Amino acid sequence: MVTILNKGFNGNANLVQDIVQRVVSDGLSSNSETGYTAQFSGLENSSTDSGASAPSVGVPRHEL
Amino acid sequence: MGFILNFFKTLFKNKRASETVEPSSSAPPAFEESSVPHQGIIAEEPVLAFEDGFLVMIVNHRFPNIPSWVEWDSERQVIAITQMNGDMDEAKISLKEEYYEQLAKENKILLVSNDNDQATVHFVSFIARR
Repeated sequence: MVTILNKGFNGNANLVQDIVQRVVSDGLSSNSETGYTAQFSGLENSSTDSGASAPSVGVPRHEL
Repeated sequence: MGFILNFFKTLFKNKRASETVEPSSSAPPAFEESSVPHQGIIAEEPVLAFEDGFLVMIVNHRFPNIPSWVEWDSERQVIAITQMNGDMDEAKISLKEEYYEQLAKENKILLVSNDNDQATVHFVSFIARR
């Protein structure tokens, strides 16, 4: 079960869930002390995505 | 007398030559690049999520350098991603207060960002400031 922490999140929850589950299911060890990098593709094929190749999850934009 | 004059001529000639020596071509080039870290702004709010004990952050941003750690400031409601060259990108983020305690206990985060036409994941340190 993916828990989104953002207040008032009204973006693409399905896409977030898909990304998070893929990342976590890579079998990362939380005990790892070293940086870990991995690449994966296919997120751009999400039917609910805006078409951007990146994980655009439809959250609001802010100016700092 | 002639011997003494020749001695001083030779001495001054050698001294002049040593003063006009060109810098060695093997010397390191002058440092021209600025060492001041760049601070950028990420306009789109990242998404933070928990799944199976992992803290995951998804940000629609391409980092020019390798992310090194993520720092969340609850007071400023800002999350900053520092890269290995010292550059730092910040994004505004508003999180539910009920997760503040849990976030304070986390020390690692799976950071999902853009990398050309793919997403990339970095498993980096996480710091929560309250």
